[in-house]
Amino acid sequence: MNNFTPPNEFIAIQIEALKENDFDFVLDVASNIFDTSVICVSFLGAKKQWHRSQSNHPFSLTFQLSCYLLQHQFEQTDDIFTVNNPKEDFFLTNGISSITSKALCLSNGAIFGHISLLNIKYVELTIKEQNIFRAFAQKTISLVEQSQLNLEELIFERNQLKVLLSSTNDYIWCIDKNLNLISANKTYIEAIKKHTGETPKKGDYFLLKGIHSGELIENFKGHCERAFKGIFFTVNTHISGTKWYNEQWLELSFHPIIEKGQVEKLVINARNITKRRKDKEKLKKSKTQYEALFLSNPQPMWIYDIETLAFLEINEAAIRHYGYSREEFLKMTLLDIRPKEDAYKFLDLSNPNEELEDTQYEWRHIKKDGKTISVLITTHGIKYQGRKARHVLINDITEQKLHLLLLEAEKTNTAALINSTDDLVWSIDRDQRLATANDAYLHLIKQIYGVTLKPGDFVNDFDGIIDQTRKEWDALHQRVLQGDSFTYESYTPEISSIWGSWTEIIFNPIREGNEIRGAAMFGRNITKRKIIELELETNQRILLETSEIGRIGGWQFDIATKKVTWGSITKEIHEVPIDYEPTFESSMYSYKEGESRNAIMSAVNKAIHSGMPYDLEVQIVTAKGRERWVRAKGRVELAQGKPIRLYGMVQDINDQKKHLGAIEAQNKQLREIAWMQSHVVRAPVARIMGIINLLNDFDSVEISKEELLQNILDSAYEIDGIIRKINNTIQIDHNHILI
Amino acid sequence: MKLNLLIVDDDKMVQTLHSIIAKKSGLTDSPINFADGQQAFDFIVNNHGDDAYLILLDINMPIMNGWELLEALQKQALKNQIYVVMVSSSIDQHDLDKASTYEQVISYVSKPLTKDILEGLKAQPQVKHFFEN
Repeated sequence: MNNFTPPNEFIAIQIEALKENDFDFVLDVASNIFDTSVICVSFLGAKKQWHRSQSNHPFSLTFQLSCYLLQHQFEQTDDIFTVNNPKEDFFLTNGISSITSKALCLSNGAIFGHISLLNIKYVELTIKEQNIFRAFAQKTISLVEQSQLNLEELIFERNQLKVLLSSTNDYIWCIDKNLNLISANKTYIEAIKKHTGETPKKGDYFLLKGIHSGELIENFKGHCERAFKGIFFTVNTHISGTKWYNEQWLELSFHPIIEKGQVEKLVINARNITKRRKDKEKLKKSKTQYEALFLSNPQPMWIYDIETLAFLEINEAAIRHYGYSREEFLKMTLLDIRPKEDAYKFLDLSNPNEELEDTQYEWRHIKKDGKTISVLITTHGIKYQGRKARHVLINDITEQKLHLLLLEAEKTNTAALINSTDDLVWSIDRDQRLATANDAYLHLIKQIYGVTLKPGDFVNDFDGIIDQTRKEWDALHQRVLQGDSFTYESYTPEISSIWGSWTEIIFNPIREGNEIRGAAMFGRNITKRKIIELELETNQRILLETSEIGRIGGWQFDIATKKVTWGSITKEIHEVPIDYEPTFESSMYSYKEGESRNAIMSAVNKAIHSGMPYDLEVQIVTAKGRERWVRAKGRVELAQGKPIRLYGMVQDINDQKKHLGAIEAQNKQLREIAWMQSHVVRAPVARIMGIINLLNDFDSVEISKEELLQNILDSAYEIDGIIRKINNTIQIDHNHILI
Repeated sequence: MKLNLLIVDDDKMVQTLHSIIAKKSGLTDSPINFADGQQAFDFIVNNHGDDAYLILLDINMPIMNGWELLEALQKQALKNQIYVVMVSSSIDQHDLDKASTYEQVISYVSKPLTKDILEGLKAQPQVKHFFEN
């Protein structure tokens, strides 16, 4: 302690005036160069300390370190000292295995702090490292020396403080090295006077045996000894109750006063913190409860200031749900998390005076990602940190609302859908009461019976419905209500002008679980379809009859399965039994060998490969060996451009062919006769006519009249011969026709 | 250019009748007779020059009938110098239609041929100029 010169009060002030980041450079560079877990700058008698730690070393470590360094006389200004495995408890608890330190001192030699490396991996620094370490120390010193302060202002503040000293409830007194009183504030003096009956005087030993407990006196002595080493510190001390005073907690601050480089005096400040302590404990207890109920509640919650609308506290669930960090929340107000238009509404509604009323509102909030959510807010007024506040519980109902909206839309859409059709849609309950119906159904009932049905009305029992209809519908309803799904075609010619004669009704039971709750019906006017069906049916019958008369048979050939099917008339034409099963080959071979078979095979081949239909007159040889003329027609059915089926008809045209042949033969004869008449008969007639013309105006020398007359006679004989020949020809053909 | 009248008919009597009428009508002084198409064709092909030919042509003849002669003449260079009057006993419309398809056929006459018909022929636009002098 002999060379130790603590820094004066102003150095302490200078250190305190340093900014947080002034030492960042020193700490940054040092922690990068030296392999250590902690690098710190500790100051004597100053509240500010800096350290950079890789682990969770408490900040108070630097205070402790300062004390330790002083006690172990790390006062040499130039040297770097290292201590391995220090025995002190606080080092052990904090896992400090080595301390390498250098004192920081002013130009007058007064030490005001230390720069230290803790837990350095290599205890012995190289010369180079020692120089770097010293450079850091020097840099730190110059930082302190350079810190600019308005000292006058500071002194003024201190004087002001002196005035304040007397108006405080704190006990403040000043003692010298012998622990004798130098001065004290009013509170202290009056307290002592109350206990001893005497006013304390300068020079009195401040520890009062009989009033202060032995334990307290020892405590004070220790603290003072420590403070006189130049350390500023504050301790909380528990004081057991005596007859003089109650059990209490005191916060004791020891301020060393340095004069001429020495700690000559101590100012001790004692503050009764019993209430604060108790409050703190209470708070701690309630805080645990509060934390459980509020902070870790899975439901998003927050507390806001009624007057400023600022967030005061936010629980984890809210932070998670909204995406804002606690810091972001604390910078915002309730207006910031809602759409602008809602913010105005919220301002209108929020009343700072409604303190304790419980309220529930639905609002929209905006999350950090910009998404708007719908929330149901439950809120009640509370006091929080002395502020009028509201505790808010948030229920995100976005999905619920969306679901409702969808349901609503679905309902609207369904209604629109069932009303957009002319088809009848209705449902009934178990008692045949109308449950729902579309406009078309209601309109039709109104048109037929003049009754406007409402949900709950019996669909089968109202004025105007005839007994037969009632019975018919009752049976249908019973059937569907027993769980049967079916389609029913209703024929009602009496409403053909209003609706149509034919209605197809689909009946479906409505189930809820295993129970049948009712039935849904879907009716469609199928009159047109029915008419077409009937027409088709008639046409088909006519066709069938026609094909029987015309002896037209159908057939088909499934290309994939190679299966050939012949209709009954086709089988008749081929003279095969009705159960005969043809094959493709047998079908082809049924055509007469040669021209017919070649033609049909080529046509079938063409049809399959190029889709070309055919229509041929060819001969078949029946199973009984008879040759027969048929008209064979074929066509290909395509699916996605590929032939799948060849189908067609075969018509027996044998008789036609036979008759046609006869007619053709007759025609040929007629043509021959006409030709004969034209050329053969007319030749002698024309000759006769020509000769007679000449005779009428005869002056020829080339031919005699006798010669001409002879020619007329020859021509007449020629005509006679021709007529006989024609007569013979017709007679023969007539016989031929008869055969 | 001289116009020769050719009578092509297998009926001798008809040839004589047509020759007399042709002279009487002033169509020609010297008609030339042929009994079938082939003879007429050979004559035309062998004697061709600047002369034109007016043919009174029968349809039904042995060896080469009237239609065959018309066909044969189509391939000849002198076909533009030939004028044909079909003279047939046929009253078949089909023959009349067929005759009208030949450019050389200027008239179709059903037998018997008369003086009046041949005189009328002289006024036919295609051959009129031969008779104007």
